Amino acid sequence: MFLPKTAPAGFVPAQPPEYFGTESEPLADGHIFNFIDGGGVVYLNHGFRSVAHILYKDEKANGSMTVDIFDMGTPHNARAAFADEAICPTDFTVISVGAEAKAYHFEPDFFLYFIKGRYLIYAHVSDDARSEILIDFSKQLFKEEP
Amino acid sequence: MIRRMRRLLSFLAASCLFLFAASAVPAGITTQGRPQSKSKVITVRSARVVNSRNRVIPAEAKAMLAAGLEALTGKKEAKEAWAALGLKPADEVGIKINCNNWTITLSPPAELLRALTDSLGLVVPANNIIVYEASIADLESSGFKGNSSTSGVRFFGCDEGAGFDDQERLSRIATSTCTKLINFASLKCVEQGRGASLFFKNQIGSLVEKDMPKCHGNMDFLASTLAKPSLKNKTILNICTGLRGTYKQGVPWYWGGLIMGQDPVAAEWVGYQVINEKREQEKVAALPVPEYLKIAESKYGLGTCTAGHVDWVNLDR
Repeated sequence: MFLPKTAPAGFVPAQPPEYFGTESEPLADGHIFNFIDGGGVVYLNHGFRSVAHILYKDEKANGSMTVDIFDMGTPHNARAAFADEAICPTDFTVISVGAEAKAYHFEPDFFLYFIKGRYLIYAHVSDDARSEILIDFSKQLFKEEP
Repeated sequence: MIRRMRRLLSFLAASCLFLFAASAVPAGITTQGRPQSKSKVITVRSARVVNSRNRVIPAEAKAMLAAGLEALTGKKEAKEAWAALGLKPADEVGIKINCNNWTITLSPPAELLRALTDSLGLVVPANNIIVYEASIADLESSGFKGNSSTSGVRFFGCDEGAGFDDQERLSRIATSTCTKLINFASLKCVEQGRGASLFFKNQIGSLVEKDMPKCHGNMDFLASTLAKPSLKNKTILNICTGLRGTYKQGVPWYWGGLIMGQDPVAAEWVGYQVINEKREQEKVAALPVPEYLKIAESKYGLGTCTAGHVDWVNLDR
């Protein structure tokens, strides 16, 4: 399982990572529908195998940062999921985190998606004032080896 | 100032009722035991209840809820309105909320939930109110702390020991503990063939875990969820928060409104109209009336999604 090696600047883990698999092969915390309800269907359609959900908190600002690392089985599947508007809506701006990322700013939320190999990575911060920290963390994550 | 208007769509649809006759709900169909003429659904909107940082003004949320209750029941005092909906002082009221945190937080705002529990508290003791979700983790992820004490509003997860009724395959919070239920959904567009995630999807969280995935693709099963006797017979109000909602998968907007009704099918249908109004503004194709709503109407008699049978009243504050 691919996990970040360090926490984002100014954040600490809020809880141990959670792991969700498929219905037929659930992981420690269950299957994808336990994680994202019906929204999981589209991930399954693209070969979803598992997801690691990592939640960070910033105690000072009472904010949170989330990183979800979806193992889509193959790089091809990850690219297909990244291209699917049901996962990555069309309302994005393109930024670089080492790879092309689709970034979304819906005040006060800021989040982005990018691909690393067979992994589709979603990273979110609840306070858009911290978006630069999220982007830097995503760049760092992109450099790390699974 | 409150401006009340009948929605043009409802009017036009009613005018064209004859054209819908072939597919309309047969006369005399009942919704949760009540004879149905038209199903009243209230939308209450406020431009100031929530700001662009998703901050909610508690007093405005409270006023919106009160206005909606009055419009729905015709009773000015909240206590009388709840009585008109069937609430009695000895009732235990379960409020099923939907803690949505993927990828945009659409969980019910604490301020609005507080307004609802305070209002219910005019009739029943606070400790007779149970806010629940599929799991305690879901509640906590949205900032609600579990409370199983004998003081204050209780907050439970269905995974916390109440267990599940074997026959209804439903949390015993709904089947045994509570005598009345409120279906408190969030305005969420999921597309992927299910269109929106509103009142029907919200009660997936009351099901036994093994049945939950069946709702994702099996339209009949999803429709049947609200036909389970405890949900059908105990639910006195369906309320949906759209202070912030999504009109496309993962794309939010601040609608600043509530949807309230006793007929879950009609209220869900109105939810689709609200989402489609925004989609039209954004030049996105409208969501069709989904198959599960048609099944809920025609097969399970849970209400109506036929436009001419919905009395949609909008209040703009």
